[in-house]
Amino acid sequence: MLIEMAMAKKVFLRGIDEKLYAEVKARAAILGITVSEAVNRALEAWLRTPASEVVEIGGGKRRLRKAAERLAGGREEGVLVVANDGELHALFDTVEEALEWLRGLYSRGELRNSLIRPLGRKEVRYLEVGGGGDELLGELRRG
Amino acid sequence: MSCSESYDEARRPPAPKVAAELENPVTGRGLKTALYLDTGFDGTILLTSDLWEKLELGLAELDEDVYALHGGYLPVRLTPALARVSICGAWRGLVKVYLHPLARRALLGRGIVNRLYAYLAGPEGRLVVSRAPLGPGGPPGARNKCQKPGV
Repeated sequence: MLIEMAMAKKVFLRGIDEKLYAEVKARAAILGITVSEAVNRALEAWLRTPASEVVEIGGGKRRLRKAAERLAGGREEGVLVVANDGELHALFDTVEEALEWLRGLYSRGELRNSLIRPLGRKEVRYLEVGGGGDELLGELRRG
Repeated sequence: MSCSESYDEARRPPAPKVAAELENPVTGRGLKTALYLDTGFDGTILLTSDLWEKLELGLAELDEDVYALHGGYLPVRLTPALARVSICGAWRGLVKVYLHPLARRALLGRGIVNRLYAYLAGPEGRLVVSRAPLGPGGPPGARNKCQKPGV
């Protein structure tokens, strides 16, 4: 993929996932922006993501999600909590009980990372955002 | 209980905002911030990366797939977490809040606003938030300060 960045910088990238690139291209077309603009914004978003989150997504958080996926299998009720890269986990009836457990780990200095998973069917949720939406779209289109 | 807040006059046009206290339910760490009222936001509270990091909300993160839709069609992945929230003392509770990687301002959406009575006195540049119904013209005397009913 050849990307023309701001200031007419051209960057050649290897190893871009073809399917991902096709999706980016399609979404950029819907938005009326170029792929370069989309990539610039994606890079900007990545840079604005808290460093702790970036590290977590690349490591601990991914392990936590995998552990949660495995441990949640088939369970329909309650709250599953996984912590410390999946080394610890527990099931609770309520979110408050789950938080209490995490607070205990935190207060003893034993909590490195954690993920709370309400059990049941996992659904993707979309939230409409009003304020700031136009601002963001304006930024995307400006490039 | 009700509270009255001045609009943010630095924004054009001026924007209604409300003082809020956010607390990480795992660490107990809290902070005060201003939330812009956004009745176009379906969720509860949208946070900036800065606030998210200060509160260490990664420790209260929820394993759920949530996306923000801008203008009805531009999806941006959000990160949900649990936080204890107090809206200017008028409402408090444990709610899902969301990190938006591109957000520059924290927003208060209908997920919480619909539990409250909100009065926009635009010409006066003031927002009144209350747990009880407001009389015509807003609660008397509730100007730029928090107060209990009848005070």
